[in-house]
Amino acid sequence: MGIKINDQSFKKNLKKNLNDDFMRAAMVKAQDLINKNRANVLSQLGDGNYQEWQKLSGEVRAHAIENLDFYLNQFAENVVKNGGNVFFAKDAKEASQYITNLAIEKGVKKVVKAKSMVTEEIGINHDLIDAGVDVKETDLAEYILQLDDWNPPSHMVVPSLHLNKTQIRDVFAKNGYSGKDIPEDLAAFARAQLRNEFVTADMGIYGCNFAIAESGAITLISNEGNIDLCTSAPELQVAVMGMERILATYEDADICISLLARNAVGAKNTSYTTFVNGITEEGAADGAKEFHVVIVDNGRSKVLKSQFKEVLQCMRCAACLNICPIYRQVGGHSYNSIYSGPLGVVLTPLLAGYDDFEELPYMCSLCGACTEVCPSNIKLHSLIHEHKRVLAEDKKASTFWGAGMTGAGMVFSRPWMYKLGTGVAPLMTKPFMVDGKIKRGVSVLKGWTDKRDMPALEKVRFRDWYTSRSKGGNK
Amino acid sequence: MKQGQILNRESFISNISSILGREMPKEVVHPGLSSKPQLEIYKGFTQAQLAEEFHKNAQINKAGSGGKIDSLIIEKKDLAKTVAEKLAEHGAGPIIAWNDERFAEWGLNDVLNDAYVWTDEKGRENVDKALKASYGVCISDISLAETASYTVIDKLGKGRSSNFLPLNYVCIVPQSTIVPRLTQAMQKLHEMSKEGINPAAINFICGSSSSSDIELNKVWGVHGPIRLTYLIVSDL
Repeated sequence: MGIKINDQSFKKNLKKNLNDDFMRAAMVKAQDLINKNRANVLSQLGDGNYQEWQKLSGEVRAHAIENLDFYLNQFAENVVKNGGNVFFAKDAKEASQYITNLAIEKGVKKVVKAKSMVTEEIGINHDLIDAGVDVKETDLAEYILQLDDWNPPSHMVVPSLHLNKTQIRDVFAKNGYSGKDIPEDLAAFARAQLRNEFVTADMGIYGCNFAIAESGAITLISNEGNIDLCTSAPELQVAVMGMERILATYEDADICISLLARNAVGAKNTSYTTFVNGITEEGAADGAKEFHVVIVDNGRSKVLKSQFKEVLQCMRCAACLNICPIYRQVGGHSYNSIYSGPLGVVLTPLLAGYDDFEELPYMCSLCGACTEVCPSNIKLHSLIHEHKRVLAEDKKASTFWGAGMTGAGMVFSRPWMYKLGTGVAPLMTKPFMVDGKIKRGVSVLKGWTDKRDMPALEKVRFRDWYTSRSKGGNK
Repeated sequence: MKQGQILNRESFISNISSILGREMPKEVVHPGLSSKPQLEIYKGFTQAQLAEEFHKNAQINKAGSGGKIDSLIIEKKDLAKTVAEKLAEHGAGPIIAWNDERFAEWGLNDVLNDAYVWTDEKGRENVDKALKASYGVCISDISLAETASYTVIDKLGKGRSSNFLPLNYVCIVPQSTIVPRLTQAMQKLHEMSKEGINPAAINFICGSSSSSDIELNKVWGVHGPIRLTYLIVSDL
């Protein structure tokens, strides 16, 4: 799939999603539920001083990024000491090719795969399928999306959030399910379908929440247990990690793990937290006999070089999605990227370029809520603002947007034009008014009035009203 | 393919070093954490108090799971009887247990008489037995009071699949293994790693397999065990 999830225009995606009432309600429900639980568990973390933990997490992530070369090297050495192999991939193509060639070389017929953003990013599934390998996504949401003709994920933690249970029932019905749209029954169907796959697969592929340099461990965090089964039965295993997932020590991992589940799903911990250290002891009946770690750059080094490098501290908890008022209204698919929400707004144009994603930085009201919650202490809203600056100053913004901003700049910097403009604005907006409110707009105004009314502009300007009042007027 | 390889390292790492404006350092001194709030959690608690906290948090997990998680504090003399009760609670069925001499030491030979014992020499047969098992029995290596988590450190005889495939799980939690939180477990892994010991897998487990992927409804037993019972043994 890669980072971009479809070839439709940004506006078309947005329009489609704004008309999906179930999806929009699901976003609101998810945000409300997760944030309520999040606040509760964070208040119980030690003495409830979340900011102290947030600062620590930011420190350990920043330290790792500042010394990325050293820690990646140390990590790779330790993976080998633990009996594994490491492949450094400069881009998605190299990473996917390495894994696909490995599968072909080893005669792999079936892969069980656990959810991971970076494996979506490198598009491994379709390369393996093209090579004749049967790929089974095993996370419940990803399994649903795979059966739904590879429907793209809409949330980093709850990827199938945009689908309702009836749609899921219909997807399963095409694959042999004959029951009702009851979540327990649907999950039981998935369990029955997947259980045997874990123990008959030739290869397990999973991501990496954190990589520990001091030991060579891959850390995996989940609730379903599917990742643990992917790390248990298959004899050949591959972990794929973005190069920024590194942490120096187990002590650093403690801080980050302590914040990840609390911020991601509002739970103290996920059911399973696993550290994988390569191949099993000689003679073990299960576990990896051969272990590979693929470390992916794919544009991250460009980010490291830029003023946006702080975003590499992200631990992919989705707290920023869960608090964002824009994400709440438009849903994950509107970003047209596997990375949605404020993190997606920052990261996607950096990894995939402005050409396809120049609209993304404007999917933000700069309210700063994402910065406030971020457990990696990333000033997300400042980075989004910086994107807007780059787009404006490097003239990468669209001609229409650029002309609009230039026009606005002219008006706001010339008092006589501002006075004239604000004076005639009530008259100019009159044709769009119905029952005393602006209900039909054009151009930029249309985006607003399509969804809500705008109050009519006052005939008397604030400055005039204020001057009059200062002189004893009664308005 | 040759094993133990690191491919493309030089170009990849030197590119990063160049971006960072220097050559890769030979050593990096970790600045340390500016504060350590994690050490304050349950600081100074006795083992008995930690066991109480473990139990209390397990009960919270139990409430959140609609009863799929359970926890009891018992004494060693009651262990065999309680394990037997728990292995029958959800109907009869095949049992799988680790190849661990502590079961005999703790008087569980009779209770586990019919259990299949993980035997690495038998290869994949073990995995098939785990797949069909109704019950699994294990012992926590490190137990975390804050999250009511038990830990399995991979070793021959334990069988990773046996920890995730059975429908129901009974975990014996010796009180002596309980530490305040993940912090102390990480300290132990750090010490082990310094000695060159990096077990192939370390699993921290604090609940049943669950998912909220369908309209955010929590469902249990998506892949792994549906039910989990902790038996906290106060004098082990």
